[in-house]
Amino acid sequence: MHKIVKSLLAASVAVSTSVAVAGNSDINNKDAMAMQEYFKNKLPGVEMSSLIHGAYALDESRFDQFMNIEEFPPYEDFVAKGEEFYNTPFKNGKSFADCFGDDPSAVKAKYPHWDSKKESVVTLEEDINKCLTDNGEKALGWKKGMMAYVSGYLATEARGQTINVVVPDDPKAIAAYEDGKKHFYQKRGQLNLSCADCHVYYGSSYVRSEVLSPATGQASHFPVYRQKWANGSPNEDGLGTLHRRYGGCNKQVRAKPFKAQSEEYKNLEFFHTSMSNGLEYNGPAYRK
Amino acid sequence: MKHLAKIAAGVSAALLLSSSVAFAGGKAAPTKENFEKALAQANAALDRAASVEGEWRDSRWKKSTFVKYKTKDGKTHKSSFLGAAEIAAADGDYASAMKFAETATFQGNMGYEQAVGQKNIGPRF
Repeated sequence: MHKIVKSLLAASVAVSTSVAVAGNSDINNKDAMAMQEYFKNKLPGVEMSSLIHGAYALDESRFDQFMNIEEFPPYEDFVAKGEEFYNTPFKNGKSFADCFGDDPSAVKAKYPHWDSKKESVVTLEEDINKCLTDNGEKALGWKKGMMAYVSGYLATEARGQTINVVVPDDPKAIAAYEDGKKHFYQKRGQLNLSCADCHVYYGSSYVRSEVLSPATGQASHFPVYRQKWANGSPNEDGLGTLHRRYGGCNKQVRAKPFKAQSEEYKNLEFFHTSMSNGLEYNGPAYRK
Repeated sequence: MKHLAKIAAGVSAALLLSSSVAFAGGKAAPTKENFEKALAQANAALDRAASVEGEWRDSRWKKSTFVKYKTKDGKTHKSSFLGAAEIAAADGDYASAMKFAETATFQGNMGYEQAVGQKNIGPRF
């Protein structure tokens, strides 16, 4: 465990050094390290790198069950549909490769990022729809269905790569990051709970029979296949995007959810994904 | 003696005044006009909460199914507090409608205070 924490620290220092040279802010790496140090102390014996498996990393029996499910992943067919859609040319003869480049494994890790021209955080799902509409195709829904399938395919291609969200040294980018951070720590809704209440201060604690996953590592495995979502779907389609989950979390604390791909959720994704900097992408993954 | 009479008259006047204020400030009668005032008040409170990203789920969100209200035709409607207020008012039940609108106002005020009170919040580690 100490070896992994040391390697994460070293990687982070390396990242921050290169980041500083490239004119980027190191604000998110400092926050990510502080959160990872917090979990290191809170969860002795748990390797930080294993937190990409969420609550399953905290219990051997649950982890074994999770790995058994992952042997024949229930999302496989949906990801295959996403791959097919991604590789099917548009009516104008162009394809996703014209927007994202020839290597699909190099796409996922570029998101979320700050776009200085748009003065906004840009997400993968946003650019998938931009590519479609720029080529005269119909935009996809943001939260599930083909959007989650395509996003799931690109996540599969990026497995094993290191998460490294960069916040440029630009006051507007830093403000967006800080806005996402505030959203994460701000209590909201009738239950007066913040994202951090459940996934930092009570991350690893039980809520009835469920274990709350730590925030570190959460963004690594999206889009996610949730059994709860599959149960409510006629074709057992449980695949959903990160913003679908954000909306669900907000609803659970009885706060009015924001729209998927709203500025609020894009900024939250900017911060939230940063908190997993240094860990590996492993999406999509199964969750209860 | 005259002095005591003056005090007694003063106390009586004060009591009379306070009772009339209490009457005027008590629950408004369940009428269409008063419901519309309560509805406007609720929307204003919720707009204020929304302006600081502090609106709660069941105050007026159209997808909320939290409040269950049975209309005179026996049908049960599921909606937000403000949605239920409008359903009850359309059913002529202004007493329930005003109660729902008041709850929505309360939630709007609480949501606003919650968001404003934590505008500088950050990690506790």
